[in-house]
Amino acid sequence: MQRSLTCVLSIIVSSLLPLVANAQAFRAYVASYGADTNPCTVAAPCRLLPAALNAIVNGGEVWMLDSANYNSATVTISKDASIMAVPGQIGSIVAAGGSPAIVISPGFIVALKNVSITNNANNPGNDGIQMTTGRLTVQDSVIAVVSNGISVNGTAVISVHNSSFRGGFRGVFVQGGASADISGSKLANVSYSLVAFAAGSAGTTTNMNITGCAITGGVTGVISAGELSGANVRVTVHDTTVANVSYGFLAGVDTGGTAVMSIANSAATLSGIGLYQYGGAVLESLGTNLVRSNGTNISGTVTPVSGS
Amino acid sequence: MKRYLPHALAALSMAAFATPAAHAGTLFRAYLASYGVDTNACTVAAPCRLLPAALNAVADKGEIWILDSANYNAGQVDIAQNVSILAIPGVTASFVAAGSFPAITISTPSIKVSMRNVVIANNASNPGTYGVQLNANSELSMEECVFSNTVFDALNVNAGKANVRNSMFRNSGNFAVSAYNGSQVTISGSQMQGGYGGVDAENNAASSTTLVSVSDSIISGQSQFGVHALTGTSTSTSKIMLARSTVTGVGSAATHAGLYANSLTGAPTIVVASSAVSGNYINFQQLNNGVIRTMGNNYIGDPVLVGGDVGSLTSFAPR
Repeated sequence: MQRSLTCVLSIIVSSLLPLVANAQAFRAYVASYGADTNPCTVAAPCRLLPAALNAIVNGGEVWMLDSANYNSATVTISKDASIMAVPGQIGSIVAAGGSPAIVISPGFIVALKNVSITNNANNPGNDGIQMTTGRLTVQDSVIAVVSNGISVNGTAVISVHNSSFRGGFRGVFVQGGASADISGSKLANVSYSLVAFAAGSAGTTTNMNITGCAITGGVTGVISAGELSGANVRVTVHDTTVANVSYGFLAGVDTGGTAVMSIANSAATLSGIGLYQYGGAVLESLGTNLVRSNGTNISGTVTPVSGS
Repeated sequence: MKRYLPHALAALSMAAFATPAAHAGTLFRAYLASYGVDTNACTVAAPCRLLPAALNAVADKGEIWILDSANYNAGQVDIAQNVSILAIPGVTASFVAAGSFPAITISTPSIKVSMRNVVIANNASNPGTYGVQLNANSELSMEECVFSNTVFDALNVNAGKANVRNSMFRNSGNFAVSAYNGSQVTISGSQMQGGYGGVDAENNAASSTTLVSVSDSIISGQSQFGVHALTGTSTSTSKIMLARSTVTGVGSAATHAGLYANSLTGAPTIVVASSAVSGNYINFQQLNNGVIRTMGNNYIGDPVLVGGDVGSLTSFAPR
């Protein structure tokens, strides 16, 4: 009797297994030793990010268990997802073939932690991450691509913390009503490191807040620029250093719109122009900034504001 | 206020369901691993699989080391002993809130619990409630942790003291950190991003002070409140000290604010020094008995709703 019961239970369990294997998990795992035919569990991880994203529910997680590359083409993320490489490892996602490494479909909430988003030197890509709306958090990561590290054209809300941007055209580029918070990050030799445009569509206000960042090399450190009539941009800078660039903090109106930049407790040094205002933009200083040892410390008008 | 009552009721009901991990162990250190089995001895050679087994195996004031990256709970875990829980460097460990329960609760008084290098998450398929809930006059320390997507507060402190360092809170359904009724919370070097609110101090207990200190931290992108202080009785005080920190991108309506201190009774106070509060829909709302004190060295500006700030700031001089 006991043997029969065991057999029955075995049949039941066996019949349930395919259901379990096909069910979407809260968390999927990838590893260099994984296979995309696996169920993406910790014991049987998948190999590439798309397989893991397919395996999780909306709002689920993907953990990268060891250091390797985890894509073979642009990864389009079309669900809420948190993706991270476990501490001590790093997960690489490469931009190649003239395409971005990651595209986030509109409206989704995505978090990336401890990943390296780089360019394939043999077959270059363009941007690191592209999105329009939704929410993105990037933490403890490296982005080194040929075009924009993160490019947002829309009302997305992004947050970047403790990450590094190396080389490329722009580090973080936001417009079209985006809201960006960038803190504790380093940008080196990016042509235009942190760029917020009044652009994309009229009637939008694009915001960028920068705290505790270090920017060196390239053409311009931080840009708040009016590029479209009827659009607005505001940039706030706090505890941030820019050095060895052509223009440190730049607020300008080029082709329309309004542009404001407010700077507190920050430094612009060893650059062509430290603080650069032109074309009707407003460049505010709290009077607590170090602006020294530039070719020209201030060009244009700097509006003093008092602390609160 | 309506938003918080269901949470309090949920907390009470969950406390009734919580199963404390009985403290019967003798090991100074117990080990967990993805390849462990709960019938093992929880040694490094024979690790256990889930946190309750390790809590049963470890002695009071002992340690639990987690040896590889995986999830380590199957339901709410109530910690009822002095213990340090850490995932070793190079891996991380998760405790997931699921089934309308918190991931971790501490309901025993006079104990000290620490957690390091762990992820507190919500099961999107079967959502939980809080991430970590401190319900007794005990001490909790959390370091190098990630809290993500909890349905209620990520860290909910109803009593005792909590200390959070160098941690990330993402997309909390209520506040990233909420302190109630005379509890004390210290947060440093941390980021609170997205979700409903950042830091909250509330107090309905008479003749007591809820105290939250936030330093060197970023609060950004919350849908309603960045820093939020309320009181519910005439002799209760809630105080949030914000130093060298940033509050930005918070709110989307006139009822929201980066800094919000409001109460018809009691004394909710926010103190701000060397910080930036900018780019919020409304930077501050000081209402009724609420007080927002500033040291004069903050940048508070660039609200989305120009002219929308409510009330006034009270300045004080540095000493």
